[in-house]
Amino acid sequence: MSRALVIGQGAAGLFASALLAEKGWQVTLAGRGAPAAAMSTGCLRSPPGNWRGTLLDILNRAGLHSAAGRRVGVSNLGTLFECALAPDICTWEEGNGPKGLSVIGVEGHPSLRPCLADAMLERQGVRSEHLHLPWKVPPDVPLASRFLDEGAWEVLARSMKEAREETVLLPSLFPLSDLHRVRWLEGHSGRKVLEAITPLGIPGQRFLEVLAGHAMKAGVSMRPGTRLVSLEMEGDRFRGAVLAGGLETRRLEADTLLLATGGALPDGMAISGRGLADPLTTFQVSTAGGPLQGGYAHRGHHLLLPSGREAANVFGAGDCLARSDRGYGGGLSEALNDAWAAVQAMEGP
Amino acid sequence: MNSDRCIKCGSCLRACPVLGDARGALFPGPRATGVDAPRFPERADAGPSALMCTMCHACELACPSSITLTKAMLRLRSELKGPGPSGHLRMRENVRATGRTVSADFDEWVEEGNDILYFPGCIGLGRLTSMTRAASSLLTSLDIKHDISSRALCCGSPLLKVGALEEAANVKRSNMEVLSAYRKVVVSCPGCAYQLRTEYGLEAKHMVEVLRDLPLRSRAEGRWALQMPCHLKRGLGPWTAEDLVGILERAGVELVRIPEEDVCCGGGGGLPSGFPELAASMARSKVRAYERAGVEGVITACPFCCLNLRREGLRVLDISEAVSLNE
Repeated sequence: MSRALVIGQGAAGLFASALLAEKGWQVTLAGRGAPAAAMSTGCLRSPPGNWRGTLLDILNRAGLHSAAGRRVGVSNLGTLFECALAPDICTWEEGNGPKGLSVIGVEGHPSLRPCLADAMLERQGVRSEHLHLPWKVPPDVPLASRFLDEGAWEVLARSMKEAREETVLLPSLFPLSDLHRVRWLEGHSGRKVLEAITPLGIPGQRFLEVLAGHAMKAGVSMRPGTRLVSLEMEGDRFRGAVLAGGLETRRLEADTLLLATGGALPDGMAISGRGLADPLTTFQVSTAGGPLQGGYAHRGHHLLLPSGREAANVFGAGDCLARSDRGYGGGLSEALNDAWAAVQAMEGP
Repeated sequence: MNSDRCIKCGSCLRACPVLGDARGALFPGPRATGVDAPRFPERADAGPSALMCTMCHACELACPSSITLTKAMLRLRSELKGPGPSGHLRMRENVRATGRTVSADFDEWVEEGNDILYFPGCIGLGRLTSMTRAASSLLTSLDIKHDISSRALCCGSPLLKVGALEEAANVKRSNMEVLSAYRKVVVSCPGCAYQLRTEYGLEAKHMVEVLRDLPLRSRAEGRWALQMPCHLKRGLGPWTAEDLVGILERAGVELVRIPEEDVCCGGGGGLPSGFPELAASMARSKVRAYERAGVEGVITACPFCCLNLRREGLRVLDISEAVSLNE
């Protein structure tokens, strides 16, 4: 059985790890820190590739029912948000949207401001009204955004009952463990729930939690809280790596390395001057187009050595790769696309 | 300090188990205490609620910018004005009077000049004496002859957590006189192990590291879950945590793994003494998760986890009570 070491616990790393494990690889996944996918909206803005069915299957089996196609939702600012693959609770199929929306906000909750969302929706021709839940949350708590008290859900259900419209737009309140609340709320209020599309909150984290759960079930050995500190190369071949976590470091051998780290952040790529530098200085980094386009140079997801030759058994996926354009909000689709392609490359012809 | 690297993503807030508890709503959160307070000292006086952190390191692991939030919070604690919660004052008084955070109930000292010292820690000596006896006899059965010194005092870790830097330096001085006479120190508490390694520079071994490669068998009948100690997994490191699982699996313990096993129980950071209601509420959430899993109880490797979860009626075994030598 081939052993793969995957570095990076974001969308690209998790998806690739699961795919590899399902193909019979023995996979170790190391990574630290919340990845960009956890800060995303958990919705894909560019159309999925061949992996569309695979991803939908993973999401649906975890109970996060999702659909691909032309989907529309409402952002936490009240703007209409178009995407290509998203959960049902936050989007509808284009042309099948609700006639009107009642926006319910929690006072002090930064992720959905009902007055603003209401006004924005009206301007875009969506009939709407706004309501406030009658209690205050301290300013930092809402980012955790979890209704911790059973009573809170009951208050919310009662407020939903008073809504004029059939569909109610809510802040993102449903981590994976609370997804069953959606049906409960709908049953108790007779209204349909629409979750506002929200970055930096529960939706991105939930998406990632689904991928992580799937990778774990597929048999990936997860090493959260570890980071790559050095690589052992023999000519153009990767032999092993040293990982650090807590007060310890350990050496790990593998047959293949997949780098799926982030972009220009402290632990992924380091910005030096106006260019980018690989903290490990093992591979070629392209700075063409500036830091935002820069990253590891690669040929068919094979990383290149400074000499320009391909590293025999080192691959790349996700935000760490150099690319000519980076579509706004398209990172999640790109990461998954890369993971799929890198796995194909690792499997060989 | 590397707090300049904060990108305001809120990952630390979502990872924080205190903010995730209904009774923790007053805690300003890791960002306010770990990033904003060091940068804006004039706004830093958050009062005693800034102490409502269990030091579980979850925020630090979640931070994409590798900000050392726990370190920043520890420093803030030493700079806080005002008397602090009464439980913290009591703890400091205990240390001044007895050298330990709680007075020792244990009196079976072994001072025979062995070159290994078993260091049970304040909780092991004061509250969990049966764990201390179990650990000591397990070590003896494994042919690890050891002393248990009446002169070894609090390691200082809880003192740092309540901002008592001077007292922490004092106990370190007395402890060094005792500990330096030994070739090796074995500890049951991951907090003590972390403190002895990082602050004393000693090669202190946690019980898990001692038991790692030894032939053991389970003493735990039925299905048991795991309570992963924060200072074991996120302090000493993920490999020590893996070793704990490995030891139990090889010994034949029927382990039930649940996602909540990694979440802080609320027993650390001076929370049980400073904010007992919050510590109890966090423990109750964990107990509910374990009850849903339908297990006999949990196995852990931390006296603070033991104590805090037992208070809520859960059966908790320390690793040294869960395994024995396989003869």
